[in-house]
Amino acid sequence: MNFTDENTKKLLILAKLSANTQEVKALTSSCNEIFSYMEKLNELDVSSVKPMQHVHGSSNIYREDTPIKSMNTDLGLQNAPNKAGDYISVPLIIEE
Amino acid sequence: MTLHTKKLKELKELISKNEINSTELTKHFLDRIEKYSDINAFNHIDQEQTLEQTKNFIKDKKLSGIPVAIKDLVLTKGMKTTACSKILENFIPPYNATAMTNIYNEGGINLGKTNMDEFAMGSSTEYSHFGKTKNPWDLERVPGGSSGGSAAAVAARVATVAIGSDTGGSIRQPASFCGVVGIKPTYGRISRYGVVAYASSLDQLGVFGSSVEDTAYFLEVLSGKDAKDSTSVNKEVPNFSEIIKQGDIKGLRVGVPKEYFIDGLDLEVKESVQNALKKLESLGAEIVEISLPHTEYALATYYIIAPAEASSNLSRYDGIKYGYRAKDTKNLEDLYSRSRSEAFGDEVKRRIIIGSFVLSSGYYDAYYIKAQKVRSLIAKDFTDAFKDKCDVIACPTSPTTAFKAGQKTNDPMTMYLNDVFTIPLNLAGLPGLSVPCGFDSKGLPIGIQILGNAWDEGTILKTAYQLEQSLNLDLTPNLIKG
Repeated sequence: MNFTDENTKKLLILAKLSANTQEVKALTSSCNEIFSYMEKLNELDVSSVKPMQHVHGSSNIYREDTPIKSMNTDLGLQNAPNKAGDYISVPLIIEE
Repeated sequence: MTLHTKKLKELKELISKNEINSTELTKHFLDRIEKYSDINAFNHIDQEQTLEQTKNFIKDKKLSGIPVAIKDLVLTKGMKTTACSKILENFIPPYNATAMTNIYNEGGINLGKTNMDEFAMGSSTEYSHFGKTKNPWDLERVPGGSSGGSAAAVAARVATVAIGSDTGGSIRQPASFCGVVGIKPTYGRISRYGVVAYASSLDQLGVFGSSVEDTAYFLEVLSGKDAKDSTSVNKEVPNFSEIIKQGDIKGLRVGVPKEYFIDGLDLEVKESVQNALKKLESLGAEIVEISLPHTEYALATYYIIAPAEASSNLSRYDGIKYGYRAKDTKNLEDLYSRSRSEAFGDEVKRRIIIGSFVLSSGYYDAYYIKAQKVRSLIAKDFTDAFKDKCDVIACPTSPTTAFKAGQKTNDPMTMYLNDVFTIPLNLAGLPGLSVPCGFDSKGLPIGIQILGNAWDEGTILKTAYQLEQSLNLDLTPNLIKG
């Protein structure tokens, strides 16, 4: 496929990233090369192959629902970049 | 006393007989880290915290009083864990990874955090926010990656053993480049709880040591089912460090896949691996040619699946709950976008873009599902080989020896091709190790990879041990001689 700057710009928005024009061009160029390489997989007919779900074939893993002590608030908030009391502080979402 | 050349069990003996105490031993290694700081094997050391641990550790256990190096994506309560990314540069974990808890429960000491490619995305340890790590065999060259700090630390004997992680070869390739032993066990052997995630269906912790015995011994400490990681598996943990010495390898069928001896394989690497195969044969093993026909599709498969999982895993870094937050943002969207853009490195951004693309509507079936189907074929290649053709598989770890720093950073595809021999194993979830088997004409170490069936780490370690004893190589870099 031909991966364009428009593809890159759209994906940057979806992935919550931003980039200047030069960075967009660099990303497009390297992605183009990588996606071209991936086309190698088209050599294979996999229509009758099941996709891998888990290397050991595991599915649901259950355990006893035992109550345990949870992390205290101070510890949980120790890495918050900005906080107010027992809460994480963020910019306003709804205009005043 | 040359403490840094001693094996784990020897150090344990010295401590248990009170011939040395843990503080002296740990100071010895901290001094060596300082002495060889040019290598930049560690990106975070906290001497005070580490030495405090030496005064209060659990006695009479496997690692009592012995310091071990920890790749900086394993959460260490109270000690920075950054995954070598700006986005986590000040992150202090509020809890320990289970692997770390296991080390503490066996009396071990956290020596410090080793350098790595940001979020383990790289093959040279040049993509770290804290600067690149150098190869102790030649400071102009890379140690491999992403666990380059751990491999270099063990090679320079500034640590006896170290934890690494291996998503597409990140233990085996640096082990090969640095002349040490590195094992990636079966997926599910070691808990991933508290390990910074890159690609969860492929990520697996493992270990480095300067000998097969140390590697096997340290692996015993980390292994086991953990209720906190539903992908860890309840399998008995064998006594690996004893198994390796039991009996010989007479009659062991060593499969050699023809697809691993291809154009692009350095001739000196090829010759060294073939000599190692002859050595195995002289020890009684039977060398059989096998085919893993889908090997050539592994790299493309990996670079769809791993970035897909990474783009999802890394969505948690949003500048809100923890990690880097951009200043003076206009609104919430701006905060997300600028925090991530200012703090993720170029390679990480590239993989997020690739991953977002292959998961997006209209491309999901053509890329992601197709890759998962090819992954099934790659895994089946191994299943078929181990079913009736061979007991272990032997092949080169990397197509080349360590390359010069800066040589591949501008060309992502060339960098990715480094992992062409290590990636298939991760896609199949099987165990594999790299053990030194010789040197090239520049004096750089070469590794041979030994791969095994699921849960059969014992046999690959035993094969590597026999080879190591028989080759008896001098694996001390000139830098630290004398």
